[in-house]
Amino acid sequence: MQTLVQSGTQLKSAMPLQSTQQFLSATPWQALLWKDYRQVRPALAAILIGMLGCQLLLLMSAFLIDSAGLREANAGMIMVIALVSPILVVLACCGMLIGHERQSGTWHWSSGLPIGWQKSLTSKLLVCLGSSLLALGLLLIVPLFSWQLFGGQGVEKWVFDTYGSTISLMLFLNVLTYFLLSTLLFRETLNALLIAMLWMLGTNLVILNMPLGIFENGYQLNQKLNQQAILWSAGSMGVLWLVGLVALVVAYRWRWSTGQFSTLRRGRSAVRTIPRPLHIWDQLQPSEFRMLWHQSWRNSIAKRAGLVGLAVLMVALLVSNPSLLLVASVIPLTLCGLTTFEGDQVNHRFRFLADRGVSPRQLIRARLLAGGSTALVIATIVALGSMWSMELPSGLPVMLVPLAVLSFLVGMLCALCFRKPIVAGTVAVVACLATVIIYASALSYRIYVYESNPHWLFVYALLVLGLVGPIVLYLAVRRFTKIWLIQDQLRLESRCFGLLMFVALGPLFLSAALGFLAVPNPRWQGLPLAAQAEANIQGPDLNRTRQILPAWEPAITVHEIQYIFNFDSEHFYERASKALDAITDDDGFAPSSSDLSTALETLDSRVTIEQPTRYYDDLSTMIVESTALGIIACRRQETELAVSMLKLSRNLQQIALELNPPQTVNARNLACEMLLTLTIDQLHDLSELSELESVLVLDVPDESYPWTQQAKGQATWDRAALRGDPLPQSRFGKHFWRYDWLTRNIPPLRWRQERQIARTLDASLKFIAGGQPLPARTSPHFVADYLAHQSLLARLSTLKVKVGAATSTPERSADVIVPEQELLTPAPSTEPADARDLPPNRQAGKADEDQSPSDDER
Amino acid sequence: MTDAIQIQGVSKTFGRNQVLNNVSLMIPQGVVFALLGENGAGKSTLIRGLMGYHRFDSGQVSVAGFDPIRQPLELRRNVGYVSDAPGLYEWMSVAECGWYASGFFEQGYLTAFNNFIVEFDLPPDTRISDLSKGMRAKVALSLALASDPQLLILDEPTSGLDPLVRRSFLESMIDRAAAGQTVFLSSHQMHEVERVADWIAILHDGQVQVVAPLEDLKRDVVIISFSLRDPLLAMPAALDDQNVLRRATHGRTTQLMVRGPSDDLLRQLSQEPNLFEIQSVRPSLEELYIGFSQSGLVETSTVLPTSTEQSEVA
Repeated sequence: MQTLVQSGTQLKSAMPLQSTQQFLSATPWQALLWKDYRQVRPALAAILIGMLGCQLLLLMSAFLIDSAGLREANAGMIMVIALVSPILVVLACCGMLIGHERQSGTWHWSSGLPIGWQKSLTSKLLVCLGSSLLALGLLLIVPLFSWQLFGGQGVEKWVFDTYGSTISLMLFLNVLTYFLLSTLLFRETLNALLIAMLWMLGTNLVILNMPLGIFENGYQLNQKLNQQAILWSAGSMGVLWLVGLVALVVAYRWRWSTGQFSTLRRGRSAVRTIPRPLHIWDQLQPSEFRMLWHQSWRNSIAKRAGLVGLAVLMVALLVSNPSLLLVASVIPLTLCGLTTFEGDQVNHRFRFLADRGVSPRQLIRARLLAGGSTALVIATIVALGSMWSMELPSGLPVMLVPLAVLSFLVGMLCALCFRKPIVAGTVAVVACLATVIIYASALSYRIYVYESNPHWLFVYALLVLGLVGPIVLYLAVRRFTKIWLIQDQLRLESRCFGLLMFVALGPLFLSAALGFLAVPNPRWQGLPLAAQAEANIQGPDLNRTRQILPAWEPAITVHEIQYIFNFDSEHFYERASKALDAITDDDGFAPSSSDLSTALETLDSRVTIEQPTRYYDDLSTMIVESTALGIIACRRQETELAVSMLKLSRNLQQIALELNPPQTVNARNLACEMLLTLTIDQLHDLSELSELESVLVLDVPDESYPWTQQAKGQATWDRAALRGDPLPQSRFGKHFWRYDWLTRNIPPLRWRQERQIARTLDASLKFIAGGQPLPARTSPHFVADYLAHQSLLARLSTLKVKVGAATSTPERSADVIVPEQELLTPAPSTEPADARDLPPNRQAGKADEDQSPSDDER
Repeated sequence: MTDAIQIQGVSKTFGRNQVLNNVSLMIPQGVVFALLGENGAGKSTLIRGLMGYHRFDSGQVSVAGFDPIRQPLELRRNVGYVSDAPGLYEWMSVAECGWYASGFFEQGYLTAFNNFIVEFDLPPDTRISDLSKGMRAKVALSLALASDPQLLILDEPTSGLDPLVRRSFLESMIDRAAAGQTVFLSSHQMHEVERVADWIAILHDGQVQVVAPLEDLKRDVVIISFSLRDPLLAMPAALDDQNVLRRATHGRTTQLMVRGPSDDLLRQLSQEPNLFEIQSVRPSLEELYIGFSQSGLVETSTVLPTSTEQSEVA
């Protein structure tokens, strides 16, 4: 072999000039920033992929969820993911840039180069901040998209409210500073992060609750902040940050130079030859399991104690928000699972077990016993803490069981598969949070879509969702432990990723598949309308589950359906115009106030003095006429007259309802649409607003029934939404529910759109035909929706839902029989026709045709 | 000429364990200086202190004219250091390691580094995690040598290297010393160090037992062995005034390691009636190391240690 005979100096002088030009050296900042960025890149990628995946899944589920409230919740969660991602990134950066470097020895080597501590620290801070901003920026894309789709609170307002407040900024800076400081002081990365977490939670608990004892108004997390309390909290956190910053600078300088190998312990502890607990067992024959159990217990005992402390602090901080506490408890539970194998991966210590032929089963049992017992303690603390809150839904502790098992096993699996503890921790926490979010979305989707048409499969799927994941993970841990001990160099990371995705996404697909099986659509076929209304679709009782999840309401109203089909009021105007024509003079002048009063008296006398006509068409015409007069009165600001007209219209509708409910609904729909021509301002100007709105709302058992007010408010919102007016309040789903080409061509979207409309029809029919009192939790939307169910019938014709022949009943004058052929035919011509000349069934069909827009309009 | 490294009365304690106790060393320029010691003797602690990774509890240190505590950057710019387990970034390739380090040295560093990896036959695009222990050591050596430092401090530099590379590396240290550069290394490989070291220091229990040029030390220490006709009789009086570093008795045969024996010691011993088969040999470095490490120890065994060079006196 050739020996090295030339020193570097001689080599350099011997090199031809062009060879040296090929190698471009780095600048100090280039080298440092590049190195630090590459160091954090894997963890950053894991966080971005995990969080982005959660956001996309939430967005996808928002498309499928019916409830507007849930969609808003999903949108909120999408935004929360984006806003907390910088904190996760900071944790990962601290772990990788300092903790992992110190543990792996690269810190020692890097500090041996002529790099100043100032440059090194600055580079790390820049990479931390840059990565946080990058994560925030990338994860804000989906919220922007969802905001455009669903409306809601603007992205900029979210960001500003979160990061614009001084307290939030101080919190972020404190997290960055103290986590960096902790990784400098403590050698074990996870220990350091855990201690920093405890410190942050503890200090914030004190700082945020301190004003309670100082200021009169106090400071409570769920209430409006007191200005003095804000100042106190922000000031305290600012002081804390400054202290931390000084400590960070001093500690970094020390660790970079003379403190490389110093520990915080005063002296090296003596090595125990036989641990004390084993003295008792000395009398017994040592067994493999006993030794493994002892090793598992001693290993990471400090971490587990810290995790229990973390759980206590979390409960103290989040006791008023049990849902958030449940989600946050994922972190200590996952980290507890992480401690089972975490110590074995450092410096390949697991080879000690592998070389001795340790049984994988015994090892898993010992590790599960040690780590699982701690997880049980943590779960108990969280359960007790969540039950402490007075606002707790009763099902929450039950949900903690599968959540705890899942989180623990995910942590265990990640500790087994990833050699670097910080990467394992990051992947585990992100995977757990993603799984919880996905499970919650799948659960809510299944529950809320099928509340009225449940299927036994998805009820038991709730249990399956909670069992599939943990079982798969446990089997994987068993399998991988065997591989891990036997085949040293086998890379398990890719298998772990695959498993985590299966566990997270599997129930979602399972839920969707079960939902598809549970489609109740075929029940409509072949039934007459009345029978459809009376059809009692059986299903399991979901009351308990409803208690767990908050109340919901259908996302779609009839007005939105009209918007979907670009339904306008042209045909209403046409009929109203005819009515107006009948009461205007030959010159086309609209009736004067006196004429309106006269017309009102005439109509009123016809209704109250004379016998009400038995012909539906008469009533229909009178309703239209009275409503038209009412609108004119509204425009003339003749409030009293308008109210009287509309009251008359309402009375007529009540009469018509007794004669022919479906047709009356149709007539009422006409009246509603006419009222929709009025603007919000015009309605608000009228002092008798409540009276006007009551036209849109049916009689209810109790006027003071709370959701009646909701119904009225909802009607106000619906009018504004339909006209494109500024919305009184933010609302999710403003322009979303379209039956456009996208919906028609994507089967899942089309399917759910059809189901939603069918469900709305079902509820409307039940209400109308059954004459039932309003169910206790019926949404106010149903109240408004039923008024236009004829439109739904017409629309359903395009959705291939058939309505068969009807059988008349003595209680009803006539069931609506809508011949299939008529329903399937396109909209009729615009030439008006005198409905009175048509037979009853054709009159019904004609009424539908008048309302349905033409193909051109569509 | 100022010394490359000056260590005066340094001590270091970790907790209740005193690792270094009043250690003083003066390492001249342009030599290969080997620091020998058993495991836990304090070699790495001393070397880390020289690089400024921790403060000594007492004493003064000057490395290449720089104070490791007050002038760490200047020190690291002018001193090449390779630790016993270099912590290179696992995800970096060999070339990337050199590029990264080049950011902190002058122009020409990267070129020199690339030349060294060619010389060491290292694949530039291979990740550090995929390299063997020996190849990682070569990368670390290349990184240290590329800046052409005046002083090289190497902590177990040849650990993990195959014998051929180890020999060629150590011989290159001779060339560096000849060019005026100083090499300070710690090692357990006695045979290799013996071939290249100019000076040696032996550290035992945190204290320096000996610091001297290797050749002078070899000349100054002899191993005298003799057999006794009557083992019950007292040792010859000629041995009373000698600096006996180590004494080993194997049956009737006694072996003494004596430092600085008097000129007529052998003649006096040969006149002793009780002694026969008197031999004097020059010790190897390993024997010197054992002798100084176990100074004062009386060893009794049935196996007689062998010597590389002997001269029979009687």
